[in-house]
Amino acid sequence: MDIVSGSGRAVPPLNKLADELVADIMSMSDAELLAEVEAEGLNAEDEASRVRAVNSVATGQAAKARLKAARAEIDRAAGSNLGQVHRLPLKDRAAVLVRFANDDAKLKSRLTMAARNGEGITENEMDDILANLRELGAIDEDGSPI
Amino acid sequence: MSGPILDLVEARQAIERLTSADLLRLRKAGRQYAFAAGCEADDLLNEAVCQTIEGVRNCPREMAMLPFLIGVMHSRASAKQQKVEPELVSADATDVGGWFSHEPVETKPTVEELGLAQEDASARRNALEALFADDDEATLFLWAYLDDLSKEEIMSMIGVDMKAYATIRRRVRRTIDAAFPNGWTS
Repeated sequence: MDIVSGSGRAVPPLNKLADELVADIMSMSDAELLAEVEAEGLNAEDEASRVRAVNSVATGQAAKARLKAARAEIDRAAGSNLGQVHRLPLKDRAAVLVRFANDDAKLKSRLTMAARNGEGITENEMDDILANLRELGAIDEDGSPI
Repeated sequence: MSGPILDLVEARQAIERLTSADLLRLRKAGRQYAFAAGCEADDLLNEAVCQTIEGVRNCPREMAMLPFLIGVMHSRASAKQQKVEPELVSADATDVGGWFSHEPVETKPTVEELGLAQEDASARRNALEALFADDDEATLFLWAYLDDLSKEEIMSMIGVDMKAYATIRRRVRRTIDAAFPNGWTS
């Protein structure tokens, strides 16, 4: 198997040297290759297994990266469904919730606590409730009741 | 790149189907490109496999996975060195067949980064010269490649035929293999 250069573009000299040495690797038969590995004091199958493990790790990393990208895309899509609500200032988002809190004693209590001492409900929880209200069609994208 | 390519599942399967001999060649090739790039062999191979499985690099259907992965390692090594030699930058990654394509340099290195990279590249060249200090033929072979001479010019300069040239090349490769089994790990 020959190693060929693509288009005659400038290649860094150390890479040119590496290309030439890799061409030597490719020119060997499998038997020569195995003999060379054994002559290095390595077990060929063990060495191949080690490279296979490196590839498996890389495969796992790539899978995780794809999963993370997919998760980010889902989150982004979910965020876009919220419209502008989650971008409103905190006090405006709280005001939207207060309108609904009269029908929900537990929520009202937590909002009151939050107003008094900064506890009771987190900003993330608030956004989750707003997202639910938006999905249920109870509020529009600006947080106004529908 | 034009022409049909492997989809991501096929690319992963092709990597998993590499034979033991393929893997040994991949490892040996990785050592050489890692030394050129100034990084560790496992890291370079890991990058090449990740880029292939993520679809950053697409393997043409008519190409076997082994030469494709070697080509990706060549390209990554070339891109890493372009930090050292920015005049060699080529931004075109559309070689026919995708074989040995260059990569655009992602970020322009700072003066400090450039200085460090040049120091590191010099260290690698010095390490090679020291390695072959008592082998005149091998030293000529190295100097000629590092001075960008063609294979024919090198054979003429050393005064050897193709067979003797191949013998020197193998000796140089095996010596580097033994001295830097994991690429460049400074």
